[in-house]
Amino acid sequence: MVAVGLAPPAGRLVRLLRVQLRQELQLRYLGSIAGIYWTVINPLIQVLVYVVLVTFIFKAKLGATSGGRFDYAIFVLAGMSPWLAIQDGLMNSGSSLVRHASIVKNVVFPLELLPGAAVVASLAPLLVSLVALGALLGASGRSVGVSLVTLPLLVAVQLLFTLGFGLFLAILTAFLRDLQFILPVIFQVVLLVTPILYLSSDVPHPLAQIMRVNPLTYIVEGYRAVFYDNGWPSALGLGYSALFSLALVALGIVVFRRLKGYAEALV
Amino acid sequence: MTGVAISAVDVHKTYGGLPLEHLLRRLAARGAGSRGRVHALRGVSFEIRHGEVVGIVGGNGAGKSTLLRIVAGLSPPTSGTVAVDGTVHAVLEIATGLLRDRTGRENIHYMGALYGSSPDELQEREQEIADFAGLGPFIDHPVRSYSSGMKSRLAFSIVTSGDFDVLLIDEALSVGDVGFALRCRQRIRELCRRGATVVLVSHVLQSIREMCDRVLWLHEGRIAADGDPDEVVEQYRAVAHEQAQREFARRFALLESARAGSGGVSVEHFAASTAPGGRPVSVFRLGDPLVIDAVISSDHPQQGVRARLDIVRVDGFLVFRDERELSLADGTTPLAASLGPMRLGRYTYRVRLELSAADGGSLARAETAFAVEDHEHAYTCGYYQELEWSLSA
Repeated sequence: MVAVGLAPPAGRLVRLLRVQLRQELQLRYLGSIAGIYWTVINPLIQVLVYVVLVTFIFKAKLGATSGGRFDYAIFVLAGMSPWLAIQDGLMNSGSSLVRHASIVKNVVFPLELLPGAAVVASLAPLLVSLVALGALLGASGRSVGVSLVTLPLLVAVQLLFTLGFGLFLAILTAFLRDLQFILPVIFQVVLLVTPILYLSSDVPHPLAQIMRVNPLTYIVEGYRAVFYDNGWPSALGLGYSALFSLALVALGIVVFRRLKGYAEALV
Repeated sequence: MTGVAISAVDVHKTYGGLPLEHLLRRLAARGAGSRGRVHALRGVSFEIRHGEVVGIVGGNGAGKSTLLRIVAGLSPPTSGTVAVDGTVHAVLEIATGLLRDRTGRENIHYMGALYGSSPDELQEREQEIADFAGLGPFIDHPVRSYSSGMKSRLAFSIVTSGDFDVLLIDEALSVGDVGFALRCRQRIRELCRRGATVVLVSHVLQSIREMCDRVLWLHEGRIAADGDPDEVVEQYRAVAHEQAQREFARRFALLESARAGSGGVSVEHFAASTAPGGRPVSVFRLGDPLVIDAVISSDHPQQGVRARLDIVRVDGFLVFRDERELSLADGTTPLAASLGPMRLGRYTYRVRLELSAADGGSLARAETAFAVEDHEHAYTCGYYQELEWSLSA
């Protein structure tokens, strides 16, 4: 006698994740021209706007800038790359249960895989940003050092971070659809308290304090260490982010499991 | 093979009373608790053995679909336990899960994978699934170009082709055309031979009776009967009939007052029944004798009174009209129009009696109504047939 809802074996989980991931990517990137626009071109235009605003209109200089032409662009894009991917992952995992209502309602399926696949799919916009970043680095004659080997680690922490919040958002959106529309506003606030457009040392004290406890800070600074400073990410900071994300994922799974049975009646 | 495949113990399910939902709704100022609790299942217990084919019958809202969802593991019971031995495939509103922009063939691979089949298995079974769905060349067209019947056929083929121990089907047998319905039944029989357990919900009682070893009747969230298909279906039908009868009588009570008389003539009693002078009947079954009963009172004897009887279907279609001449005695005259066994389709009908004097002036009028239910042919519509009738006064 097997109880209903028992987790399927790991092999089957991986297979289901792959199927769902393929579906998630196909839907977004092969389905429509607009899909490519929203996930690739739109964020890059956003980066361009910041760069033009800061370098050409305010003519501001960063404390650490050596004065190269593309310096600020590289600075912003390095920090923006993980942030754009995280936003993408959170938006899509948040809406995942609602988008796949017919699966939730009809298929005996480990539902955690729906936000899971959306989070993994956020690697696509990350790849696009990194390609743009690489082009920019090449154009400015800069190079990247051996610290590039830490990139997989940064990506791993970033995915955990996205998954942690993604699980919460997915299940909460089933209860409260409005979350989908509140989320972009929250992203704007988070952008403000994360050192993406500026250095944490350049902001007033209280804001810098918030940045220090923000786990996102160390992921963003990690990317910037690799691509902008040619240095190593802070082990302590990244460790903090990793622990925070792991705890969040664990809590997220518990909450998700607790509530997922109700999703069927709500989506 | 005789072990228990599904066991449910005191299963309750309540919808709409979740604390978090209340909390969030309150936060969003949408009026907490505006939706009342719905007690869909109120203590359901049963055991189904491996290889059994069990039908579930019951009226709308009796909890049939809720029960299937809980057995499928899609929805947790509010209290009580459900245990299933083996893997479950459920054919619910599955056609909605197909990817609209992909072809039927691509959907076989996508849906098949969601139901746990490996790519190799699907490759192997692809043709068989496509053949069973019977879509012909459309299998390579995008699903958005399919009719709803085609979608259901494809989904049914995919879900029932996999490897599973328990199959749950909700009203899926009534999708698709006659040929597909036959193939579905055939497939279910094959599955049984293989040892799979099948639970099916349907309103087509005839197919439940033919296919099932056992029938559960759910009534208002409880099991009202459990046992031999013929017996349970008959019991359910009798109660459903009784209920419809009452409901209908209430709804048409108004017509009773729609009587008018003049010239000393009035209609005292007017009703549809199964025998002259019998109890008024408001819901007929196919084949029941139809008798229109009336009692007319007059304050003087009259000759050459014309009686016209109309039967009008609820949508206004005139099913029957005929006229007879009769004479009224002083006092009351009983009238009975026998129209033979009921041949009208599943509809609601209005019956009108109009009495007019020899000179054409209206004397009296009365109306009543009856409905015909037909569980054997769930989807027949009303048809017209020349009714033989006789009037006995």
